[in-house]
Amino acid sequence: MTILALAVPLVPVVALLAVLTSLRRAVSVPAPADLPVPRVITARLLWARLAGLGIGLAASWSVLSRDDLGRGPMLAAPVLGIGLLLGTLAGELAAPRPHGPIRGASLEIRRARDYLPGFSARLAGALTVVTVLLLSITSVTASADDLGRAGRVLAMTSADGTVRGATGPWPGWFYAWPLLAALAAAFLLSSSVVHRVVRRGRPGLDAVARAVDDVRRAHTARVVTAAYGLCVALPLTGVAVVAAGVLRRQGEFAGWAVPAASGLLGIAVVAAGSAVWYLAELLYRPVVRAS
Amino acid sequence: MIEVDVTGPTPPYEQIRAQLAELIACGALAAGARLPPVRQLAADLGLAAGTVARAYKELEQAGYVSGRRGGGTRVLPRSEPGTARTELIRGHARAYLAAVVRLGGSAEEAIAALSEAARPGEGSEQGRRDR
Repeated sequence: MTILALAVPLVPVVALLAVLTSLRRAVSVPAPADLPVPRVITARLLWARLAGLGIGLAASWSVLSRDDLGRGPMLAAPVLGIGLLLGTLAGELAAPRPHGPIRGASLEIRRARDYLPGFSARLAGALTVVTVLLLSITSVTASADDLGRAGRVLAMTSADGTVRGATGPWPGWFYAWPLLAALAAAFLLSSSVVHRVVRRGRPGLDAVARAVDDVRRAHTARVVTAAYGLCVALPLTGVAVVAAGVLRRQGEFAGWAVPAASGLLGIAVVAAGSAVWYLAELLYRPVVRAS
Repeated sequence: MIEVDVTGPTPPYEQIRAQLAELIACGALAAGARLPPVRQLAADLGLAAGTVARAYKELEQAGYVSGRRGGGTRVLPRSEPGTARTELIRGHARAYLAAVVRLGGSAEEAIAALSEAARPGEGSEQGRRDR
């Protein structure tokens, strides 16, 4: 309960911080930023991303309405994120290639870390590790439910093998494998988009065009990180809360269950705060100003 | 920076090779410097990756660069890059003067045109845009 009491003010604070950080991000370029080729790229990226968001919302709604013993709500956020990632990838693939008889290129070396937002990317990595570890532990400790579905309940047994209590839904293999598969797909898609962000051609060698292009690349990398972060953070929040509830109910059979539930609630609070952060990152759009 | 004229008689891979060889010979690309990945340079120039890969391969065979799997393509040390740079600049100057003379101009006109082109705002950037 103490953790939940802490969580109530924490989530709005994270939301406020995220919004304030986003508002401050206006990017300056050396001269008028209204160039034809970057404008085309910006429009294609935006429309493709919106299309991806639309597809993601529709697919997410479809998954959510299926329920499937709680797997539907768990997969809704990853499915939405995958739709957004697909749209972002399509936008990057639709960016115009350099054309014309004379083409130039600088000898710069672009790397993913030049564009990825450091904090958000590291946070997404940490959340992924926590999710995989948590699902591994819950899968190992899970048992089949009364209808024989493997990995759906947490059963406490005594030394002689007698089941003293079985409570569910426990995020065992029944829930872990679809979530891990969705996260693997989201990770592969994110990697593909970031690879494309780094490798796609420059629209021009002009200093202003390069500056605007770098802003667009960094924005795409931010959207990808935020979409992937949401794919991980929201299900992790749900998994941690559900697992904590089961452990609390099993507290009478095992002394470690209640402290473990408190730890899981702590994870849920951090994951919920991260989800708010990533949502603010998704809503951010860079403002390009001439300096 | 390198530039490729895809309509010119010289194949694009040769244009890339020649420009990179010049940059390495005159020391503009120092020993140990990394060249951009093949696919990135190809995307920036709007060319096939094989075109850039061929240019890199020929540079490697000529001893300008060394390519290692996973380590990228790096410039190898050259002897006296300063002398090579001076020679290259002289060579380009001779070629430019020859072109002006071919058009019926004089050395003075060539120098005047060069001074004008070197003024801020009228240099190579403007030239590129004009083309």
